[in-house]
Order: sequence, then C-alpha cells, then structure tokens
Amino acid sequence: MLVVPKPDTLTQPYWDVARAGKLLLQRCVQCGHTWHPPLPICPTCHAANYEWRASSGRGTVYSCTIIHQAAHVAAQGRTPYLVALVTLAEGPRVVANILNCAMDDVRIGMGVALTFQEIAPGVVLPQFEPAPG
Amino acid sequence: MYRQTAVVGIGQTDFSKNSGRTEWQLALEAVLAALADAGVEARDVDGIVRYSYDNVTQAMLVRALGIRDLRWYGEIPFGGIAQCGVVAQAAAAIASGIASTVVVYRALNERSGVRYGRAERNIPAIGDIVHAAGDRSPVGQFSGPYGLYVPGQVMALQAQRYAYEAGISLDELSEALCVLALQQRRYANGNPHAMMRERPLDREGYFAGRMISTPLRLYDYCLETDGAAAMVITSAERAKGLRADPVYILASHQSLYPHSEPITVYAADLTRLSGPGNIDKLYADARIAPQDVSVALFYDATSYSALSGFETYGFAERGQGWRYLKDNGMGLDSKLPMNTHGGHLSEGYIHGLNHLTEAVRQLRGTAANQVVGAEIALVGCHGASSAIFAR
Repeated sequence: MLVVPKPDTLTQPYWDVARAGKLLLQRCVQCGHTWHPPLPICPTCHAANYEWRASSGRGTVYSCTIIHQAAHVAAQGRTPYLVALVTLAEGPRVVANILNCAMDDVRIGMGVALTFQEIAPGVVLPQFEPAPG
Repeated sequence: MYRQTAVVGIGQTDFSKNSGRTEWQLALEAVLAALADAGVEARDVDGIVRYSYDNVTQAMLVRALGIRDLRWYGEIPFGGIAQCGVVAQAAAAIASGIASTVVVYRALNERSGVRYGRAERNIPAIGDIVHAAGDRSPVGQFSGPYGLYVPGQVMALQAQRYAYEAGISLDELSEALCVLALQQRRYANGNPHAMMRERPLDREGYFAGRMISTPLRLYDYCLETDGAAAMVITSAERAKGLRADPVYILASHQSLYPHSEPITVYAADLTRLSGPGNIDKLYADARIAPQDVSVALFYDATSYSALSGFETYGFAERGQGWRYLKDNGMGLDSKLPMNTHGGHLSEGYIHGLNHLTEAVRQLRGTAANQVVGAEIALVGCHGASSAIFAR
C-alpha cells in the first residue's frame, strides 16, 4: 500500500511541477513574503496575487524522528524509517525523508539539498539528501 | 470573568480498554453523574459545549436528557486543545447571561473504537494506492506521503527539537521524561479509578519500553481509553446555593496563531507553542502568579507535552524543564505536584477532561492523591488552552 498526495485546486501546481523536478513555494508579488503550505492569500499583506517560485533547494534539518512503530497499514513492514522537518533557505518548513543517508547520521542543523523521489508512476515527492561538501 | 462562574458538578464513567457501551451511553452516564453531583435537574441545563471530535452531539444529549430548552451550545475543534476551551466558552456564556447552567463533556471509545494512534481514520486503508488530502500535519498531502501520520510522531519531532535547543542529549531528555512517567504512574497506583492502578512501573521498565518514535518510548505515550467525563458549570451566585464547595473559575483562555493548531509541524518555534503574551495575561486575569499554584494538570498526550508545561506556564526557564523535573520531581511533596490522577499516561485518556475533573477534586479536597490545602489549580494544554481554578 502506498500513500500518495491528493492535490486540490490550491496545491495542484505544487505537485504538477514536482514531477518536473522543482519544489514550488508561493511568493507574494506585492511584498515578497514566501510561505508553505499553500494559502489563498499572502498572510503578511493579504494580497491575492502570489506567484509560484522554485525553491533554491537548500535547507537545514529542523528536527527528525526515527519511527519504529507503524501507525498506518502503509507503514507496515517499512519501519524503522526517518521523517525530518527541513527549513528551506527561503524560510518555510517542509516535511521530508532524508535520502542517501543512514538514519543515525541525520542531525538537527545539518545542511540538506533538494532531490526528488518518484514513489509511483507520475507521483513525485520533493525530498532531501545531505548537502554536498 | 474572575470568580463569576464555578464548577458545581463532576462525573465520569469507569476507564477501560473496552467499555462495552456506546459513546452515547458513556456520555449520558458521565453527564448524569455530574448533574447529580451538582444537584441540578437535567431539564434545567440550558447550555452545552462539545468537543467537535466527540461523536455524541448536543442534540443527542438534549433528546436523551429531556432538556427543555437548550438556549446556547457551542463546540471546540482541534482535539486536545478543546480541553480548557470548553471551560472558557461555558464561562463566557454564563458571564454574559446567555446561559445559566452549562454542561461540558467528552465521551470516547478510543481503544475499542477509533484509535487516535492510528492514521486509518484519516487515510482509509483500502486499495493499493491511498490518498493523503488537505494540508493538516500530520496526515495531509504534505506529510502523509512521507510517513508522518499521527500526533505521537509530531510530538517526537517536537521533543527532538527541544533536546537540541536545550543543549542536552536524547538520553538526558529521556531521564527527565522517565521521572515524569514514573511519578504519574505512582499517582495512578494510588488512584482507584486509574487504568494503571495495579500496574507499577520502575526505571528499568520505562527504559525497556519499546521505542515508538525517537526519542519517545512506549511509556512516554498516553493510554488509549474507553470512557467519559463531564462537568457542570454555573454562575458563582447560583453555585453558592447549590453546594458549600464550588470551584471557581479565575480565568480560562484559548489561543491560536498561525500553524499553532494541533498537531503542528509548521509553527515558527515547535518548542514554544503558546501565543505571545498569552500566559502573562492568563495569570493577570486570574490575579495570581505561578508560585501561587498548588497543583497543575498538564495535557500529556506524551510525557514531553507535559514536561513542556513546566516551561510554558513559568515554573522553569526555557530549556530547563528537564532539569527542573530531575531536581524537583512532581510528587505530592514537591514544589508543584503535577497530574496527580495519573494523567493521560496512567489514569486514562479522556482528551483532557479528566484533568479538569481532577482539578475540581483537588480543590474540594477529595482527590485520591490529595495535595494538602490545595487552593489553586492550573490546567493547561501547552498554552493553547488554559484554565485556573480556585476554592
């Protein structure tokens, strides 16, 4: 069993463009504020004219946990696995798994870089891996 | 609001893994017990506040209790932070004159029915491909596909960040969480109504508990419980005519700020979930200082949530709650006895309503683990909902 995102009207661009290898963030055209998860208006100046702008892909691990007990049938047989919170250079925080890294080596504060993972045909998740260097 | 309203009745069912009754029955048992305790006739109830998570609606209570005219009813969303929200809304309705006698309640078959530690309630497990929808964390489209499913995992992320900011190892954090879990268990061992009344726990047993989501182990998590609890709240004036020992509401607050609604991963600071200035205002409204509190009941979906309460409510400096616990403990002879009924970790998980009923028992002097001379009780869910009660 696989859990995939269900895009809605507001979030469709995020998932469409993830397939093309970009992590999109909403950015207010009027005041420049950037946020995630998506909102209908800018939470700072309330302008409705936002644009979707690709993240630089640079981030740091804000927190992480290694999950040992499956909390959904979909996780059965897949434990342990790691879930991290990543703070992007642009400011917003996203949920990710840290790929290409042993779980025990993931540290809060470590630099990570954007990558992508196709979990099912046409379903692509923005993910992160240790930053080079 | 100060001392304008009071709790005059409390009631609860037994707490078990399998109630064998419907949630409707459980709610009625607890509400009728609370009404009997208050000496109030069911038909005279004119207000109800419900947790929006409760499957028992106001209409179901009105129908079964034969309430003549429910003139005011409300409900609080977002699960655990409804804890003191129901008190705040009941008190506000009474103080404003909209209602005179308000029932608050929580009934759930959380072990034999829908389990909150599982995510199938949000992501149905039917078929090979299942969908995570909405933007809630956990569970939603931005977290479910990554395997972040349930509140207990989010609290592990919060605890992990806490240790980092406090500059301590996860082992040091676990030592403090162990102090808390063991003391709550000792309290439960002395509480005949607690699910864990006959199940002692020692340090070895705590650390032998299986890891659920690092750094939180089995005994860092709340129980899963079938049961219900209820309270009756009325005006201070009416309360005096009903009983000799009303428990007055000094202050009761709710708070939301961007992404603070449970269970959050996006709030700016995951180690401080209380809104700015919110706790200062709580104490100011209650006309007390933290050192005046006799007993605290902190929301404990996990041991970490309760530990953070010592910092949120001003008993320990930021990042020092772990040290406070190790140095002071939280037993009956400590600076601040906390979760004296055993809490969610060891009495039962009634979504915070059993913390409220314990606050009332402490102030009446009838608690199983009584704090001698208790004058003021603080109940709080990480600053997002709080209430201060007094004799």
